[in-house]
Amino acid sequence: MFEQVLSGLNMVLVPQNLMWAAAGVTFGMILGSIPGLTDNMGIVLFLPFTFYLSPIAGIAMLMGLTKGGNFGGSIPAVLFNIPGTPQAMVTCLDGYPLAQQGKGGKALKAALYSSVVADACSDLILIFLAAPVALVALKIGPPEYTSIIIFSLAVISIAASEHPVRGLVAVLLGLLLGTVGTDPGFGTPRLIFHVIELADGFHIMPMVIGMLAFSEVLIQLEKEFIKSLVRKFSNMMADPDKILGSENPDHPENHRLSWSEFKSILPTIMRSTGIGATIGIIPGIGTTVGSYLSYIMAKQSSKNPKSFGKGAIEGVAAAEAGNNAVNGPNLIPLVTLGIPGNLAAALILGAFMMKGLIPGPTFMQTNGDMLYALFFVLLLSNLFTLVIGYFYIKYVRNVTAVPKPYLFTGIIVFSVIGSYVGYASIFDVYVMLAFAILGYGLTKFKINLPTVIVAFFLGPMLETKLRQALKISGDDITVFFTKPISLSFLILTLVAVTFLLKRKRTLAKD
Amino acid sequence: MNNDLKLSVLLLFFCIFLWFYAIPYHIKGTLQALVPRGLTLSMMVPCVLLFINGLSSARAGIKHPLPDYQIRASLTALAIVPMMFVYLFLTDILGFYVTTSLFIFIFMLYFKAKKSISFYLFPIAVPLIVYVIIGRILHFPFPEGLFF
Repeated sequence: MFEQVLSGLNMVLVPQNLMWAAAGVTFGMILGSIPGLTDNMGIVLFLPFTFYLSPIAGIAMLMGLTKGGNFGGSIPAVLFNIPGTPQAMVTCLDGYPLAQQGKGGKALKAALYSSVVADACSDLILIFLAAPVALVALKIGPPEYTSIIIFSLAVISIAASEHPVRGLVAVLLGLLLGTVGTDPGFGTPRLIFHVIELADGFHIMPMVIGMLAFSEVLIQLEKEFIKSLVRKFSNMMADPDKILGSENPDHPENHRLSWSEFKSILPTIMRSTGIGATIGIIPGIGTTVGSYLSYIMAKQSSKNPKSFGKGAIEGVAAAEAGNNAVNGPNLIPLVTLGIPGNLAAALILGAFMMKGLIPGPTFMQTNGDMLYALFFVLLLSNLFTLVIGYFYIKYVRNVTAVPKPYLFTGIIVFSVIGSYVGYASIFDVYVMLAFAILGYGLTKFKINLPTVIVAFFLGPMLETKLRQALKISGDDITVFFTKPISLSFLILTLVAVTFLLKRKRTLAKD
Repeated sequence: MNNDLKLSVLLLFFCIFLWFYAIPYHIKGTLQALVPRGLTLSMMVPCVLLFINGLSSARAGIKHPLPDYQIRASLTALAIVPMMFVYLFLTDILGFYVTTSLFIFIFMLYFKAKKSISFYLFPIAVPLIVYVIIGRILHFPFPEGLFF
């Protein structure tokens, strides 16, 4: 085994491989920073190119792309409130308020360090715990999936909103929006109102951009107009040329994340890594859920939960750590069983196969050195993300210093581009606008928008798994109570709901 | 009418719309409609809770009147939405780059940006950067129209 580890290390530590890994991280970061262009799209774009590279160089580049893309998605989330990738939407919640306070650099550094630490920890889980984790993953069938999703939705509905009733409205609204499209069981159109473009349901990117970025522009504009009207009505001095307010001062301290600040967010990073990694074990649940659950848990255990949503560094750290920690365990089914856990893993499996390598149970025996090389590539890519990301954010953080008229115009244009590029469809831009209006209205009624989005994302999965579970058991509902993992999650749901409601009541009394 | 009452009334209308129009006319089959109907019924629970909460707040005399300037500001901000519809409509006719450039200029005027060199450069620079990075390097096609 030791020989295989050394051989794997030798295979990786070749200047050419290191260069391609660094190039992958750089491309991934740039692509991730462009709203709408995800790391998956980056893999698709660069996959044919890896055909001309050696197996390790090709895989190093693709791994670098996913790592760089994952972090890159947080950059527009912090600077413009537009998540570069869907999973970065939770980073918007505290990243953008920090940027508005002139602390964009601090938020980006918190995002970078949290991403790298969580990703590295999740890679270590993959390296050392792949076999036992794969055994647990194999036991997760439709009933277990259903219970886990019910648990996630219950926690999200109560913990994420100020009022649990409004949280329930958000979850139900998200689930209802998720029913639009094609019925997963019968294949018939459902609530598409004869609009053929809706046959696949709403695409996630236009929805996220509309609800979070564009609606935020409308809200910010409204605030600025109110300020100017109040000034006008109270006969105070108003500068007509500067209707959109003053810009934040650019202090170097605002762009630095001190060691004491990093130490204060470290427990949040580690907790979120645990949550993200647990979510990552379950194929298909995805990074968005890992990120949002981590954020909610960080808020619940924070000494200052009221600062969340207003620019809490802990919030950025929790979101980014929770999102990146999913990656390592997501690769476990691929490495141990040859089954891809998500789209990125499926594309990487394609790259393996292009090189004549078939991951699976016998991969360790037949290509042990290659497997260790893959592990080293993962860890090295994290190092590259840290170094390249550090210099990259030094330049991009200055974007927040641009005057608000330019910033808002930029957000509007990039919202259009981000919604369009996913499916090259103008219809998606109209969808984005519709969701912007919905998001604006829901914000007025204090409905938590990320909760709507996460429920929308989980809804179709819940319906499919619920139907599968019932079909397998012959419509026997006790299937959810006879499987140990499923039952554990249902009990956990009850405990969590009781605990969270009690905590809400105590906080309200205080 | 306070916020809770308004939200509960809106949700009630939404549920009525789904139950009596959207589900029967836009979903074929009873089994296919099961999930949307179940969710619509579930929505009635928070709807009723909000209504009760809203009523008790109204009885307690808690009022949240919306000042005039707030309505004016909301309408001014929401004016962006019809402008966006015009933008998207023109994109099909004039092409993405030309329309985007034109509308960046219009938005900047609407947001009352200071007229400096960057005011005139910005509407050209943004579409140009998008064209170079996404259009040329990544070969991603944007809608083309009469001009570009």
